[in-house]
Order: sequence, then C-alpha cells, then structure tokens
Amino acid sequence: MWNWYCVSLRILSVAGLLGFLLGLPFTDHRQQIQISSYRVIAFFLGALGTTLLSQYQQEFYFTWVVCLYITFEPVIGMLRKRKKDSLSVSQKWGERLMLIVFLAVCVLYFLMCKRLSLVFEWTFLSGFLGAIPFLLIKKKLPDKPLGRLVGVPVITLFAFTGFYGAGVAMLIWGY
Amino acid sequence: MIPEDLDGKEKLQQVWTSRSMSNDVVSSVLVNNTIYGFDIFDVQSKTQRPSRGMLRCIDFLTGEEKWSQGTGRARRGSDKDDPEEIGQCGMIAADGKLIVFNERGELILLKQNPDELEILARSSILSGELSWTPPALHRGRVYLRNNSRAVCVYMGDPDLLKTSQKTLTVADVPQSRYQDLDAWIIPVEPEFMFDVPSKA
Repeated sequence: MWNWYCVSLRILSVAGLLGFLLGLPFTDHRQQIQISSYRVIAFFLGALGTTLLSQYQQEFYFTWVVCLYITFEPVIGMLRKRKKDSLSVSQKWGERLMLIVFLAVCVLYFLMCKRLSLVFEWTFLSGFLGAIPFLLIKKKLPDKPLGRLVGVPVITLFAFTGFYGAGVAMLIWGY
Repeated sequence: MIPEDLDGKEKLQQVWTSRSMSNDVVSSVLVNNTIYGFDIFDVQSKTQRPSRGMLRCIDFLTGEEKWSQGTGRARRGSDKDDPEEIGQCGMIAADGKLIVFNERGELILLKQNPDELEILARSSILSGELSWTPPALHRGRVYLRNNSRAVCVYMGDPDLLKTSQKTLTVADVPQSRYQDLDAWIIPVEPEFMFDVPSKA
C-alpha cells in the first residue's frame, strides 16, 4: 500500500505541474484554469492509473483513490462561500454539479470495487475525514502567487496523506 | 473417521491433518478410501480468476497425495488460462467414474483411479461463464447449469434413450462469449486481505 500511496502522490504532482503549465499562457482566470486542469488531469490519471500502471509494472497498483480525493477537494472549496445568496445562478449550479459529481464518483467507486472483488478498498471512502483539516487550511491560504506556489503543493501533500492515512486506519481497524 | 460403534467413552484421535484440499464453492468426493477434489490454493474463489489451484487425489486413510493436476500458478484473465488444466470443479462419483464439471463449463469424465489421472472424455458444454455449480446425475442424465443456462446431458447407454426423445448435440448448445471485463480493468492479481481460514 505504500507503493499505491507513492504512485498516487506522483499522479497528483504530475497533474499539478501540468495544470500549472497549462494555465500559464492565460492572463484572465489563470488560477481557475490551473486548478481545473489539475483536477481534470489528476482525475483521469487516477482513473486510468490502476489499469495502465498495473499492466506496465505487472504488479497491482491502485490509484482510484486519487479520483476520490480530487473530487472531494472542490466540495470543501464550496464551504468558502458564506452567503449563498450572493452567488450567481451559474455558480450555484456549478456547486451543485460538483456535489453531484462527488457523490456519483463515490457510488461508482464503491460499485466498481464490489464488482471487481477489491474487498478492502472501500475503506478509502473514510479518507475524507483525514483530509478535511488540511483542505480547510488550504482554502485559508493567502492569495499571493508565491505563497500559493509553495503552500498549495505542501498542504495538498498533507491533505492527501491525511486522506490516505484515514483510509488505511479504517482498513487496520476493520481487519 | 468416526467408528460406527462409538460409545462416547473412547477418545478420538487425529490421524492426519493437511491443507492440501481447500475446497471453496465445490466439494470433494470420497470413493474407496480415496478423496478426489479441488484445492483452490487460496482462501476464497474470485470471479476474475477462471482457474487456479489443483485437482488432487488423496489417500483418505493416510493423507498422502496420490496425484494432482494443475500448477496452482496465479493467473488472471481467461486468456491466460491453461486449457489443459481442469481447475476448480464440482464432481460426483458414479459407476467407477467421476463426473466433473469445472468452472469453465467443461464436462469431464474421469476414471476413479488413485494411481493416475485418467481422462475418459472431455467436452465444453457451458463455456463463456463461470460455473460454480455441482453436476447432478439422475437416470443416466447429468444436469448442469451456470448463472444463465441449464443443460441436460445424457451419459447412459444410447440404446436406452427413448427414440422419441428430442436431443441436441453439444454443438447445438448455445455458448456465450466470456467478456472478461474484470481482467481488462485490472490486468494483474490484486492484493487481497481476506480473513485467513481457521486452522484444521
């Protein structure tokens, strides 16, 4: 499971780097583009990683946990808005969509694990609890480019570690 | 072995113990002090492994293995399956033979022979899906089924079959193509964390 953790961190790192680079050419909404790109890339790498890495390495690597984590990030991000009424209609629907995607990914994750006889991977569904404190800190980060450049990767590392650790703790407790 | 005249005062003794016959969804048979059965090599059957483990013959009185078939090698996906290996199977004993139905849907006729594996006949009856069901025998007919289909195969004397009986050949039995999506998504054997079986 240590290997899975390291591979998942690499996926997040690669996605973060690619997202950062993809957003550079844009002057407007650069940060939003970088974050969205990072999340989309991380999700697809996480979804495909289990199959492709396992095939390539001929050893089982489980990376779907990245998909759970990456769809959970924006859900915590939604808590930033204190006054919901101040949101535009499109923003409200955007938030609802993120929540629906998150719930759908969780359900799909569970069903896939069940279908594929991945008998203990469901425990990562408890990982959200471990990530919450760090993701709450992440959204409090100052909006300065340099601070975010350093702070976001470090806190993401802690948040994912908390996420993964909570899943492993549930596994140890459950078995 | 429990004596028939056990009066409750005698102490039972363990003659031998072995983990070489781990049945899971199918059972072994005991014929003439010989156990024929399947050792799954693992604590539980999994759908993504169409065949794994060994077919074994064990002396019931001593626990000595007489013969075995299969490598027990872990594999994944039906394309990596060795078609010669019988694999996990249910069986019944009748008329000096063993009627075996393996999880690949093959009906196999073995001779009850503790000295060697003797395959008398072998035919793919319900291919394309996992069959974790035991065969049933009644009046020369073997009844087989998997999740979606059932087949009755006549194994008796052809002369005893009613002339009015409508029959199909094995070629007429519709076969399904196994879409091994699980092995496509997860191409190698995952780690499993099952509870270990209790010690014998």
